[in-house]
Formats: sequence, C-alpha cells, structure tokens
Amino acid sequence: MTGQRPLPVFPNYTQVPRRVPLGAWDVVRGVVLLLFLAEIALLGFAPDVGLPLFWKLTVPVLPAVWLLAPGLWRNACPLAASNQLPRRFELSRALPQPEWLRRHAHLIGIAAVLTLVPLRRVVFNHSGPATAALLLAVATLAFAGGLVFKGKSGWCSSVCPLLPVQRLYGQAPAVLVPNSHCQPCVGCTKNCYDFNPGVAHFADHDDDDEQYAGYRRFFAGVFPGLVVAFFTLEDPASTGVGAFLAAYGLALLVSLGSYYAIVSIVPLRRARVTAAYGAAGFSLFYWFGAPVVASGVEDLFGWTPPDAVVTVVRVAAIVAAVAFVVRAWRRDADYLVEVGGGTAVRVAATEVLRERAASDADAAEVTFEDEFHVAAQDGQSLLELAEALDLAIEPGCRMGVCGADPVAILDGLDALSEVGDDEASTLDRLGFAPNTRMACMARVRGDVAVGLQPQPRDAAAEAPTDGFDRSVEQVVILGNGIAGITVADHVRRRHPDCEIHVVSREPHHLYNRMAISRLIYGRTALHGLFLQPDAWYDEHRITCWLNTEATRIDREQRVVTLATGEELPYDRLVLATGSHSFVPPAPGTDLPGVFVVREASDAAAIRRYRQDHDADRVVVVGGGLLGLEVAYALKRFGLQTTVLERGPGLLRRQLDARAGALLGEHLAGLGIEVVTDASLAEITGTDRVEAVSLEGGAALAADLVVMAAGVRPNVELAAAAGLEVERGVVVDDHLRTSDPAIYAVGDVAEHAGRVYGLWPAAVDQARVAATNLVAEGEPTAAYAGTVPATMLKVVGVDVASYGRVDPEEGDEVVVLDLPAERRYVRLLVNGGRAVGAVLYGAPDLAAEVAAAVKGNGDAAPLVAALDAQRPVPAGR
Amino acid sequence: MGFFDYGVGEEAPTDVEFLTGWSHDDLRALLASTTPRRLHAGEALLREGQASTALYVVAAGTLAAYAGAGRRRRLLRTMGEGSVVGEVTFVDGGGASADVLADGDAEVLMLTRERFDAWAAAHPDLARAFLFELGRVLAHRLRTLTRAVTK
Repeated sequence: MTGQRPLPVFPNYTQVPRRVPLGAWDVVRGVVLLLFLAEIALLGFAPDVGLPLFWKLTVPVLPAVWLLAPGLWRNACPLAASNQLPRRFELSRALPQPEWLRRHAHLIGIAAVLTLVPLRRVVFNHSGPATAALLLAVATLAFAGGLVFKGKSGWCSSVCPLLPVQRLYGQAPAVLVPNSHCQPCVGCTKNCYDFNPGVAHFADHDDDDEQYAGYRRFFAGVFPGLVVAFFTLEDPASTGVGAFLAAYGLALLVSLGSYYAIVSIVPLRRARVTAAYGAAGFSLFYWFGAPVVASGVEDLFGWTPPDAVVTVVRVAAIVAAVAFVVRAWRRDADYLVEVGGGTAVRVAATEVLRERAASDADAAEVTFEDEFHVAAQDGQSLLELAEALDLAIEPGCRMGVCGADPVAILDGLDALSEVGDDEASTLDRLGFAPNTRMACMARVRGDVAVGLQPQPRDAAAEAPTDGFDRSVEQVVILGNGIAGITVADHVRRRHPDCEIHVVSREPHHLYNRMAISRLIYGRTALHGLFLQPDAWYDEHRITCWLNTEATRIDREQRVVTLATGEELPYDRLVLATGSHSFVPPAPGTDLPGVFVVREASDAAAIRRYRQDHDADRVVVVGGGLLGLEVAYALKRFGLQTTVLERGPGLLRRQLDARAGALLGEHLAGLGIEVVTDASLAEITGTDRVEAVSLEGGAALAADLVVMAAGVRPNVELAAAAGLEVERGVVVDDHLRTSDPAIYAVGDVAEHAGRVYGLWPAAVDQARVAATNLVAEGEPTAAYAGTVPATMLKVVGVDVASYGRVDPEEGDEVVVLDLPAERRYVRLLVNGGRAVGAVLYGAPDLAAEVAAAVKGNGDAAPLVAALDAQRPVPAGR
Repeated sequence: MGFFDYGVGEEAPTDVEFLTGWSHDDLRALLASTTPRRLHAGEALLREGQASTALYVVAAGTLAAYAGAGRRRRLLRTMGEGSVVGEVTFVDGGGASADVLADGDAEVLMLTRERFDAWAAAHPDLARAFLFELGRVLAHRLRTLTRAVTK
C-alpha cells in the first residue's frame, strides 16, 4: 500500500490528521482566554462597549462556528480552557462522574440554557456587570468541575449550557478539527463528542437508555421555539416578566409539540428530524440575528450596514443550514450502514486458530497467478490446491492422462514431484513449454509459483523423426476421443509426412468427456472443456472430419466410406470409435425424458429438457462412476435425485463394501437418495416419463430418467467389415485387429479378453498402436495391459481405487478405518507386493499408493504408513 | 462499530461471537476443511463487488476493509485473529461489499461452499449448528439495523 491509510467513515480524534500542532492550540487558548477576560472587564467597566461587543457581535458568531467547524470552538473555548487548567497543572482530583451525573448531565445543561436565554432578555442584555458576573461564574464553575472530575466530564462534556446547542449544530461538521485537549483520552464520558464528533450525536440518539437519548430529542424539539421566542417576544419591561415567561414557555411547547408530531407521523429516523430542527433553529437565529448584528456594528462603529448585508447573511445562513441537513442525513445513512453491516463477527476459540496457524507456518507456499498464496501440505497436488481456492481450473481424469489441467510452473519446478510416464506423454501431446505440468500430478514439496495458463512452446523444439515406414502415406482414425487423438499425435511425432484423417461423429474437437456432467448444472456449456487448442490440429497437419459418420470399411480396397458419400482411402486404419451407453431392455426407455450421458450433447439435452418441462425429480439408473457423477450434477442442478443400483453397494467395480457404504452415507448427506438391490422393471408415462417401476413392485415418481448402466463398445462397423469381434474388437499385443492394416484402441478394443473403458488404458494403447502402425517392418511395441485406476472426486470426497478390488487367494488385507474422520484405506498385499488398494477420504496417500500398485512395488512402507496412522489403543 | 473505543477499557465489545459453545475438536473438524491462504502485506483478499461464495476466518495477522475510491475511500474496519470475513457472500453468493486487504502478512482459512457441502455431508449435525450460527449472526445484524432504522 502506498500513501496514507484511508480514514474510517467516522474517524475519532486520534485518527484525524492534525493540521495545527498541539502547542499552537495552547497559544490560541491563551489569546482567547485573554480576550474573554478583556470582554468581562469591558462588560463590568464599560458596558456601552462591552454589551454590544459581547451580545451583538461575539455571541452571534458562535452558531456559525459550531455548525461548520465545531472542533475549532471545542479547542479554543475559554470555558474549556478554564475547565482544563487543573488537568494541565495536575491539580485535578480526576474523579469519575457519578452514574446520575453521567445519565443526566445533559438535562442540567439543557435546563441551564433554557433558563439563561430568557434571562438575557430580562437582565443580561441590559446589564454589563450582570453579564460579567455571569461569565465569571460559569468560568469558575468550569474550573471547579475541572478540579473535581476527570477529563472533560466536569464541564465541557457534561453540564456546560453551550453543549446542547453545540451538539445540535455539531452533528455533521463541514470541517473536522481534532480535539487538542485530551492527551490522552481518559474515557471520561459516554458517547464523547470530542472523541468522535461525527457519530456522537447518532450514538446518543440511538442509545438504549431512552431517557438519555430523550434529552437530545427534547432539546432539538424546543430549540426553534426558543430562538423565535427570544427574538420576537415583546420586551418583558413592557409586558411584565410573568407574561414574558408564559409566552416563552408556550413557544417552547409549540415547538416541542411540532417535533413530536412529526416524529410520530413522518416515517423518518428521529435523528434526521432532529437535524432538520437544528437547521431550522440555525436559519431562524440568523434571520432574526442578522439585524441585531447590524445594530451592534452601528452601536460600536456608528456605521449602519446596508440592508443587502443583512439579506446576504440571512440567505447564507439558510444555504448553510440546508447543506447541514444534507450532510447530517448522509452521515445518518453512513451510520446505519456502519451499525448494520459493521458488527464484527469473530470466532471465539482463537487458541484453535493459533494452533492451526502455527501448524501452517512451516508449510511450503504455492502461489497461483501471482496473487493467491496457499500454505500447502507436503504432497498436495496443484489441482487440489487450485480447486480448494476456487480457481478456474478444469479437472479431468486426475491421473495425468487426459490433459485437462495443464499449468505453467513459473518458479519452483524442482519443488514438485517428478513427471511420470503418463504425465510426460500427455505433456508431449499438449505441446506446451517445458515448464508445463499437469496440475493433478504435480505434488508439492517446496515453494512453487504457478500460472493457470500454460505457456506456448518455443518453435523448432520438435524431435527429429526417423525409422518410419514411408509406404504409410494415409492414416485414417475413426473417433476423436482421447484414444483417437493420442494415436494421431503419436503418428505425427513419428511420421512427418503422412496424411492423418480423424473422423468424428460428434461435432466437437476432443473435449474433457469426464467433465460433461458439469454441462448439466453449469452455465458455461462446452467453454473450457476442450483439451487441445483449435490451432493444434492445423499445426500437426491433422485433418478433422467433424460431425461425420463412417458407414463402411472396405478392407480389400482399404477405403472408408463416409455417410456423406465421400471416401477416405487408407494405408492404416485405426478404430477408436469408443463405446455407447447401454440401455437395459426395459419397457419405456424410449419415452421422452429418458436420457443417457455419454456425450456433451446428452448432457446439454438434459439441461434443456429440465428447462422445457420444469422437471424436478430424477432417477439415475446405475450406481457406477458415471451414475454418481451425473447424480451429483443433477443434485447441484436442483433436482430431487435418486440413484438405483442393481447390486448391494455403490461402485462395485472399484470399491469394497465398506468404502461403498461410506460413500452411500456421504451421498445421503448430500441429499442424494440411493436405492440398492434395485432393478429397473419399467419406465412409465403417457407422452413422457412419469414414473419408474422396480422389480418387486416399488415405483418412484420421476420427470426425468438418466440411464447410466454401463457402456458397450461400438463394434458394428468392425463386425460388418468382418473383423474378429467379441465384446470389443479383438486386438493382439500390438493392438492390431485381425486385419494387420487395422488397429483398434480405447473403449472399442478388447485385449486379452478385457475391455478397459478407462482413459489411462486408452492412452497406453494409443501410444503402442501409433508406434506400431508407422514402424518399418514388423511392429515392435507391445501392450501389456493397464493397471486399472479410478479416482472420483466430483461428489466432494476423495475416492480412489487401484488394481485389484476383490481379494484373491493368498492376498493379505490391510485395513485402516477411522470412522470419525471418514477415512478408510484397504490395501491388498500379495507376497509383499501391493496389488490393489481402495482409498476413501485419503487423498494424501493416493500418489504413493498408485505408484506402488501400478509398479507392483514393495508394500511394506505403505503398511507402515497405515500403521502409523492408527490411534494407539488405550492402555498401551 | 467501536465508535467510542477509548482504549481505556470502557467500551463494551461490539463483536458478535461466532461458533460459541463449539468444542475445540468440532472446530478443528471444520477447520480441516478450510484452505490456508496466505496474504502478504497489502494484498487483497477480496475486491469490492467481486463475486465470491467463500467464507474466511483470520487465523493470523490483521485485515482491513475499505470502501470507495480516491478521496472518498474509507476504512470500514479492521479484522484481527478470529474475525470472520465474507459471511454474507457465503450465504448469498453476491459481490463483496468492500475491498479487504492484509495490513501485514496474514493467514486466512478459506471455506468454499463446495468444501462446506462436502463437510456437511459427513457432519450433518455440526453443519446444521454451523448454519444456525451463521443465521444467528446475520439475524443479530438485522435486528441491530432494524432497531436503528426505526429509531
């Protein structure tokens, strides 16, 4: 920050910048005190001069000072100087105000002013000595108050008869002059005006002690009547003092009555009415007072100011009064904002916060976008941190293979975990600068600075290629999912010359399919979900056929026929056609309102349908990964969501029963109902979905049904072409189909009897296939299968599964179950090697466990780590 | 507010206590779902008008809230250890009402709505208590304001 710190809305006198040094105020006070004594002398000994000088010229100046710069008077007032003398010379007993005085001092001051004003007309206006005696008496009282009471509580801030008028006029100072008496503040009075002049009036007005607050209102109410009566009542010498005082009292009552009538009827805060009454009193004072001042000038100097001067003074006073009301009302609005919004909220148990801050103190610092710093625990991924900060990052597979979350490491590349094979391959595909990491894989070990936008790679960094088969001139890839695009990428890396055609039924470039459930509840459609920049395809000379369907493969002619009638000849063909959603054969699945979620368009259609049909109850058929992600998305979209699971637990392919049960509890906590052992019997409805019936007779009302009951490989084209097809298109270890010119990868491929349906497997296979299909001679690269790995975070809890799920003969089962922390880890160990793991609520262990299971590594360190987290049983 | 914080122990505290009566373990369980954000001196936690759905608790250091720009810029309040920031935007997702900047180096614990939802699913009883506390704090403010407006 530069410059001076801004002031609070209502700064106190210690915060207001001081333009005049404290010592200068002593001089001012000394001079004013001398002038005051001189006036008293003139009043006593030369009343012809003293009276007009005091009553007609000096006193009329004060209201203007009090309205515009009240602090000036508070600092310079000779009575205040008198009151503060004992304090300055350390003669004061400095007693605190007794409670009755604290509450009713205002009343004493008000009574004094209401008494003294009529007495002016009766006595003081005509008698110099009486006025002199009055001034001496109040100065003495002020001094005595200073001798007894601490701070300014013996006079200035309590019983001074000028104070009620000062407080009325001084509630919205045009110029703030900080208090120069109290060094330091001793906290002597309630709602001290000298301490915080901008707010003291409002604070008094709104005081919970209605009597205390009432004095302020009472005085404001009587004040205009007081002014009018003072100036307009006939001379008591002619009417008699009794009649004068009666008329005076009546004027006060009328004024007061009008005030209370207004606050009762007009829906204005009383503080605002009070300000308006102050302004009225001020205007009336100068309306009547201006001619008096003119007569004072005439008395003293023998010169009569022209009428125009009187008019100017009157108009100026009205203008000042209007400006005062505007200021006061604005200040009142500020005050309400402060009172309403300004209540500070504070966590009571600061020791817990301190303990937390101390534990974070040594943590490494990760800075995103040069703006967000976070204390990172050792091993946390950049993705976890960015998500925790709500930053704009799109998570994908969370395993470094999809390429959804590349980030630039601006500093501290060495302070991150090493780049593994999957991540390295993804980074190669994305083609950003060497400082790029996949946020999900980069785990923190020290201070790091991160940019959310990866930086472009410098030109000419392409690796030289050699050893490719020049006879392969045309490669056609059917499917532009992660499998197809990874093949295209790796073919181009190895073969600089061939044509690469990618044919896609969907109208979009490669996007983050794992994130499509966000299209249901999110408002940004596909924005941010594309995994490659548009330019990437041109840069890699990849010809894309979007929104285009391949209808036939002619293996003899090596030609793919498109539904548009066009033909694409190939030297190598890659089937990366993926899979489609399986819809169980139940009646009613063709009704409007029944959806699958496989592609972006499916998710968009669900969002559309809900808007068109005002749907609010949804049934998701299938408690697998996709089903749960979709259910969470639908819940976030505001739908009442029920998940039907055929089996006894959730995520049966990934989790054991205990983790599945924990996840079920979590979903219930989110408001997602899960029905297990529930088989779909029928979907019913007249012209669209109305209900779902289960086997066994139960029925659920539903406006929308989402089928997430698994996927089936898209094998039709391959089967029609006569390729060997089982569940998927059968491939060998080189990913070749039964036709050596045709390869199959990803969800459509069946390798060693297994169809994976997982992104890491698709990427592994694509790399092998690409290597083989451009290789000279016989293919060399072999695919040995992929260790299945699954991470689910979309429902707000970290769930991960690696390798084998069900224990097999000879497996040792190691369990860590901490129910209170919702943390569960189950490790399968065989022959000392980690062969499978289920993690619930343990993201900190994910990287280590994943590496151990995938690498078939030594399980001992993991088992030791789990043992270390077990609470020590009592008595040990 | 603290208009008359004379510094001599006279002023009654104007802060509303949040999560009163929570055990330290419950509080720790909640704080485990927060993200420790560090702010270096002068850095902004929030900017006036910025949309946010996170709630922050100051764990160390002091923040200051400012509104307005140029000569009209004003300090609204300072917030030390334990202070809660963003409790209104946490509830309504609206824009921040002030710039909130760190006075010196500070640490704030950030609770996003998403993190809260996940935590609430696992701790429904505490989550209900938390929301009641939040409601109580906002109700206190509403009452204070209503009382002031109608005075």
